[in-house]
Amino acid sequence: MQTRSNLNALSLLLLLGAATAAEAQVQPELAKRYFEEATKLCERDAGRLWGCRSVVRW
Amino acid sequence: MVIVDQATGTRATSQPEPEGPPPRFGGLADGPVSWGGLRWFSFPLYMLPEKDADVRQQVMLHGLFHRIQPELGLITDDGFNEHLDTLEGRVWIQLEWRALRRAVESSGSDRAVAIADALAFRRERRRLFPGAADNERRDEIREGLATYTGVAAWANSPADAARAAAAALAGGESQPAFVGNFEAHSGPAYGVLLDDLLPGWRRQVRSTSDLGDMLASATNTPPTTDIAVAAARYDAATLRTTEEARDRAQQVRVAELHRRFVDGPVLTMPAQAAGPATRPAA
Repeated sequence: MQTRSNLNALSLLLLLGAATAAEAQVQPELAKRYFEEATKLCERDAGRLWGCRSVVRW
Repeated sequence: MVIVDQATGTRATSQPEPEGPPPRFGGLADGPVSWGGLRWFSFPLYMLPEKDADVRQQVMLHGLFHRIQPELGLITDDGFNEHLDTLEGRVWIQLEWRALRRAVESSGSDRAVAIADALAFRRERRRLFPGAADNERRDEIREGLATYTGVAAWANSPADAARAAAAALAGGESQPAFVGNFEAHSGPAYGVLLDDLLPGWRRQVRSTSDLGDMLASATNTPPTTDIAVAAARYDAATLRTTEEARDRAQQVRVAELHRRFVDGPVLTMPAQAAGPATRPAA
């Protein structure tokens, strides 16, 4: 029973580890949203803060 | 822009990846990278909280400022600000933050007095620690302006920016240490105040500038002369009591660590060659 219990705990740890790794992956759709947010704010700034340069340029 | 997660080896880019091998991306720290003849800015995924869009957007705008910072001529060497971990350094910078916060949240004569107080506290700290002025200034220009940009480009209005600057100042006092992050708390406030009082300051600022001096030039009020009276306006007595307790605890901890790792048994490893022992042979 002890072995089984340990194996169950190990399986749980592996699952949790896999879940953590999956969460830590860069999700393309999420990254796209982040990029769009930043781009929108930069476009709104339109170089107001730092002269002719925009905060971000492509 | 590049978002990377070093642990899983995954990344996303804001435009198609260039040909050729990618550069080495920092896993823990954000920073600019060259890739395919372009200058990118790399964000570790963990620095971009999914559930806090305001923080995430400010972090990204902060990073994008770093990307163009060389072109703006606003690059400085690192400052050495260990004095901000001493009793007096901590007391006087927190008083500066409290006065800056009052300045950001007020207007008219109240604002003028608060700015004069902040500049007096700043001057007193720099009087106590020779060299502090230049060391602090360098970090304020390099990182403080980046944090200000994150707030200013994110804000929907000057009032939004002022609220974010006040929040950054308030958050400073809860940090366990101020060395290496103090400028992130005061940078937005100096920028927001300069936006109000010195239009065009961003065209004037240089890598050699001092944000406090720029703010002083924008006001007609000289720094407060009676700093004891000024400090009392910001509950300095309670602050000093708290900081003295922290300082005593810190000294006990340092003494304990010294006893364990310096006075106690020490493992000495012979160096096989001259030079840094941790650098592997090429």
